[in-house]
Amino acid sequence: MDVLEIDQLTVTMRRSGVALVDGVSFTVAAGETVGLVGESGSGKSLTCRAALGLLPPALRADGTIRVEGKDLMTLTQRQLRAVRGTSIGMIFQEPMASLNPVLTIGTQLGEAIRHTGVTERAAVRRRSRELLDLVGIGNAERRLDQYPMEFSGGMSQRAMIAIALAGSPRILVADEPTTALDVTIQAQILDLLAGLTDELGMALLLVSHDLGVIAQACRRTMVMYGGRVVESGLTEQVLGRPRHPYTEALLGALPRMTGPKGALAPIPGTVPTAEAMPAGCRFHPRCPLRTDECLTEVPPLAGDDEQAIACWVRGVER
Amino acid sequence: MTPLLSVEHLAREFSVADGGFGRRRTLRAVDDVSFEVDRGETVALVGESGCGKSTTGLAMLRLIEPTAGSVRFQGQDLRALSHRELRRRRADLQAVFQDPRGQLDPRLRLRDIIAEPLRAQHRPAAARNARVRELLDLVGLPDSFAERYPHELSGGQRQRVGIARALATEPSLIMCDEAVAALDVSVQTQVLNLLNRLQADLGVAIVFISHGMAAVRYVADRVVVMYLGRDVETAPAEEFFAAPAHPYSQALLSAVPEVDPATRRERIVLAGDVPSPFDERVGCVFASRCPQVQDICLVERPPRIAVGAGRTVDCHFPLVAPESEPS
Repeated sequence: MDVLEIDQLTVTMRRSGVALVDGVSFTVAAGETVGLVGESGSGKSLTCRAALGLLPPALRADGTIRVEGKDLMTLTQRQLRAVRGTSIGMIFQEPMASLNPVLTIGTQLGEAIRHTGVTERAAVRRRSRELLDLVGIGNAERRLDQYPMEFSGGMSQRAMIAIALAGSPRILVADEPTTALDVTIQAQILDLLAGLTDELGMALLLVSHDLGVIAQACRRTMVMYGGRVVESGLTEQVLGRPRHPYTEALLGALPRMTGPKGALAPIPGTVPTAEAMPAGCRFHPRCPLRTDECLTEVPPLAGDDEQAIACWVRGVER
Repeated sequence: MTPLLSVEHLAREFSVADGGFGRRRTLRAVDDVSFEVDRGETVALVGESGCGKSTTGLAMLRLIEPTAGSVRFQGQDLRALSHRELRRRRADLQAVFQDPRGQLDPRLRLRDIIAEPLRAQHRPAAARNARVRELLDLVGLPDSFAERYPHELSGGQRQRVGIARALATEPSLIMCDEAVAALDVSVQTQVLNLLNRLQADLGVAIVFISHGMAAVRYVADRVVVMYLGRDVETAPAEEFFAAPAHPYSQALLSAVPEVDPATRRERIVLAGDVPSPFDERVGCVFASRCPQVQDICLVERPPRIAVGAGRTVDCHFPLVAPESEPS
């Protein structure tokens, strides 16, 4: 069953009318981990913020976002708050910045638990202990009375995950959850997230700029560039046998830990900014294969569940 | 031949307020670090946040003062220099930092930013302008950029400007502290290639401080692994990536997530966190998280063992066999 369905999502800047996310569609099923990968300005974070109904007022979302069948676009702010925390949970990049430094972990976790309707003091405490156990924070009773400053970065992210899980959400949206963490701690958090999707049957939408993290954690992957999905499909296809020139170039530019250490092939130029989005295919100024069509016409995402790309040159064969 | 730079038993402590009432605690950010850098060589200082790699970089250039140890540059003790002498030596020792935006003065044109170290060395204006054009060309930026301001540049271009400025006085060593960390993959690669080319063309030595192990693999000749303020392994890069000798190095390398399913290795997930840098260090600094810890590791600081040419490891039970005693 698809827990999250996004159809033709477009996020535009109200003032200038520039589309920062342009016609993005995908689904995430229960128990599945889907990756959203891209460089800065690719629109991956805005896509997931839109999925949570958390866009800043200067931006407008159009399209359909369904969580467990409920269309978020039609909900009032109050109804949206009820969906967040129960149907859909979220964690962000900076766990330290997401926690309130003057409240204990127990207080902040308790707040999230009460939001789900559990109000009795002893029950809240019991559920808090359960959640800390679930995310691998030992010594729960003592930890609940500590303040965020007494938690390391990895422990803070575990606490954030516990808070996100308070309402037993069907889907967790994780925006760069390990980017601020060291690699050895990142490995712990990725293990934890994989365990949670297995055990709880929870869906996970993982947003990252790190191709390695995506490759390791996700069954399906979407590659974004300039606000559009340029390639999507099974992770082993997309990252193992990429077909879009951007995915290919990105993998060619990536330093590896093993294999021959030949010269890396950088992608010429830079990622487009909101003020200067190219017409046609947004990758065309940096693309070695571009044709005249690419300069003016937007290529549609075409293919099947296994692999789809948005490219005029590579898209027609196959 | 004497090495270009020789760092011995370097230490840097910080005194930090503890609670109130004038109580203070000592944070030992760098605690007995030694390594050498040869002419034209790239040495990477690697490790996770809080391991002291950046503090080591700053202290070895005396951008902050070390609290103990010695730093010899071309045989001269940098710690013995007066501030005036040190300023003159800086022409030969330059630095590039992580945030390409933060290190460039937004009110200056790139021409003036790049020429700043030359002005500090009292070079005449005509020579400065010619050199700026040379430098822009060297880092792959067009001449016209001389008249631009930093905000007109992308992150990768700004980092090129930072590198051009560092190269202005033809230094024999530059320290790059997380110089590619803030850049997107596609742009990061441009800068890594640039560093490799500059080193080949100019023979400049680079101290490359980074937490990105894959990037290190592409630029480093030698790797120094740091953990909790100590250097725990030093090795030629090739050998290091093929077979790390310290259990921490092994875990660090195995934790880096790989893209290719075919080359995905067995991951070692370390339990727990790095201990507090305030605590007294007894035994091995890595003992609290080491998968193969023994009793001796908890009480006795491991000796520095040679495990190959130019290769040392501080471990009671290294993963690479120690060299047999020379007969």
